[in-house]
Amino acid sequence: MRVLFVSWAWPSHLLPLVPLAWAFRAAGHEVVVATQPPLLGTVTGAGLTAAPVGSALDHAHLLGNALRPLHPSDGAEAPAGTPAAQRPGRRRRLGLSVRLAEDMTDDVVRLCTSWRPDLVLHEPTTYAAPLAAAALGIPHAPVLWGVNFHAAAQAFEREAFADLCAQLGIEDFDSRGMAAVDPCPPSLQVPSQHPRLGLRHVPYNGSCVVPDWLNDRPHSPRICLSWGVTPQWAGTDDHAQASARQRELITTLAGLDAEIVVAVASRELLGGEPLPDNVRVVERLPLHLVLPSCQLLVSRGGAGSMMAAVAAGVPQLCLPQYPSDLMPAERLAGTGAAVSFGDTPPAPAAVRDTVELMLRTPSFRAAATRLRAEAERQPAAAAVVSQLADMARDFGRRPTDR
Amino acid sequence: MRVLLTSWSWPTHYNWLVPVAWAFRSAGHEVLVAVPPGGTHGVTRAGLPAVAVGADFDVDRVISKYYWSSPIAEISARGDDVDWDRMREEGQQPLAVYALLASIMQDGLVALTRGWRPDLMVFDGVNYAAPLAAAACGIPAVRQIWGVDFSSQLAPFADEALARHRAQLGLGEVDVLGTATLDPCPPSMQLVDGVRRLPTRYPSYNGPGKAPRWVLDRPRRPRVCVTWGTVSHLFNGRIFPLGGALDALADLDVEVVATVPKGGRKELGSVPANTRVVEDLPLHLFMASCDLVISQGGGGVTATAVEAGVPQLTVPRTSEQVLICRSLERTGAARMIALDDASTALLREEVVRLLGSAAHTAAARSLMREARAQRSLADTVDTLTALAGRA
Repeated sequence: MRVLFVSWAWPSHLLPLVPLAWAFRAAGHEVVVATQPPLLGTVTGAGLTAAPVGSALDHAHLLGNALRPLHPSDGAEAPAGTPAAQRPGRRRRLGLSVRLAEDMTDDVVRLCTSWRPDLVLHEPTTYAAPLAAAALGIPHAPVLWGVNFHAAAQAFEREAFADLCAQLGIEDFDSRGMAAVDPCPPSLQVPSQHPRLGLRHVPYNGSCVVPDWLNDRPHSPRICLSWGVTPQWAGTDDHAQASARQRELITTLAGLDAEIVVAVASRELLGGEPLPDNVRVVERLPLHLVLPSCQLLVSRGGAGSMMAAVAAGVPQLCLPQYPSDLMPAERLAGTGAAVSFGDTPPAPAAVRDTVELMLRTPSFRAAATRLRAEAERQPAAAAVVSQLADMARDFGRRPTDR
Repeated sequence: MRVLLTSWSWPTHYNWLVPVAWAFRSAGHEVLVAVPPGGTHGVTRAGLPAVAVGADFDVDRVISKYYWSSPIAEISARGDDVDWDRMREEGQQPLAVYALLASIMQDGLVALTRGWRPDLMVFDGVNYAAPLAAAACGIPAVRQIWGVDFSSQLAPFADEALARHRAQLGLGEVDVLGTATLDPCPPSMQLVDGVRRLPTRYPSYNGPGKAPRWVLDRPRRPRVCVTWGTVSHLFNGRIFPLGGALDALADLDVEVVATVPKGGRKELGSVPANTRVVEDLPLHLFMASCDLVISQGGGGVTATAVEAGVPQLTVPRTSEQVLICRSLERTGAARMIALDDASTALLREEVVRLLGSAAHTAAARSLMREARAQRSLADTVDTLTALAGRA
């Protein structure tokens, strides 16, 4: 069977597709991963075949416009007089999805017409995939990255994509597809009436040559501090201010008797001055390789880091930075495996006190272990692959054909 | 559980470990791939975590010293299988190259195995440091082969070749064939011996790549792929020239796709009008669209063609390639030309014959069906998990 994976060009949206794509390959299926040009190297860097669709948009800029930080720097608020349609918020977020779909849909249609996939799987906010699949009658399904904060936006889809539907000559489409492939443990996921295919989550945050220190046991509790990639690249925050705030937080946490591993996309974000001795700054070191040796993850609660920590059974402290971070962090806290700061500004001293509390309270680790066990009870990728392949084969057959 | 996969630093060796590593990851296991420094990039660009062990060395010099001057090189150029018993009587030591590799990797691999404490090792069949390290650390080692089981034929030489290595680790006998053998070869092509094999369906993996538009479209004329593999250019001057093969096809009504390593286009120079030269494009991306593949008969290309059901014409160079090509020929899916006999005229003649041959196409299809009927990697991973006592 030929399986086309589609994601717009943002790492945290594309990377979760990789392990499933490999599971399809391991089962003997052909796989192509389509994305916009900036991330073709990320696809081939995962050993997969990439096909370009759409163009090299300024994604950081688009995302920066679509996401409003919960705690903006001075002067970073939307200026007064900005038209409502351009102001951040939910409509605006779907606006980003529409913009991406406008860029990608024609090419996805062309790719589907020439390569003729039997199944299209896509990242939930990449609407070019369900649109093209609907236009061509190809079975499709979204692959969720974690807690589905996007579910609420689906109510706006019909209106938002009316023009694209008209261009494609279709009346309607359903981005939820045949079923949602869902790596999130059910107790963490938002309840949904739509069919769901549970998947044992395999975190993939990239690859690297593993540094020696990672193979040794840490001498003191290891705490991982990660901001994921989204805010660093896209926030409307002024870089210097963000950097100063991060340094303050790191320095405060370094007062604890712990090893602080700070995972950043680029060291430059932290400025050039030295940091305390028990702080280790790592660039592009995949979280899924670091977390198994950690006692705690401190992050904004983005899906990539949250799910990697769930798979590693590590308690989490969530410091939401964007409105879309709030609900997933809240749900994770509900399992007992995390504490969420909600929309409270993360004052360094308060963060340090919470970290200290979490390190000495065994219930967090116990809940994280339970959550990991629940994640591990989900069907393995191999089983989900055969189920999806069966569904794709049956798709479109009338009951009398079966 | 933790699985340590390890190979020599040639892509033709470690590429076989990539789908296995991913199948373990998909099933929820932790993996690490240990290769000499020169191989780490190839591992990380497959999305896998790499660890460097040992050191890089001048492969060309080592092969020149141990291989090209040996009688094996001559026998292979004639297209004959090597009589390994006779080699032993004559005191030949074909494992010398691999014994050297094992010395380079042994200490690093033992240290890594002791530190990371994997439950299972999976090793490229000629990376002898692996069964040594696994034996020293008391974990099972599973051998990865890439087709007809050449390395099992070399096993009788291992005891002597690795004597010093074993002594260093205080080991008596070491089974270089491992606890089991991961085998991608269709059984009808495989050697019949007592080796414990786990026949498995492998997805072809010849490295990652961007799919150019033409790959996704259907060809209008018969498509012939010509490839000398990933590393044959290192056998400079000792193989049938790729340009010669392209000349053989120049006046035929076919579309030729010639694959060369990165930077190889310039070296190849001008090519016939019906030839498209592609650099570093993984074969599995377009193999299924081909009607014939001409190659050096290496493990990667032959397996990729088998998986895609494409008839093959080969001009093998090494003893391993001769073994593969002779087995392929017996299935009816391929024809082999001995290097000593190879000429542009003969190549052309064979191409014309193969392109018009329904029998070869049918045999290739049947071999493909056989390959695809094997257990999936996911199933084999379950077997290996049980074997490591971690099911």
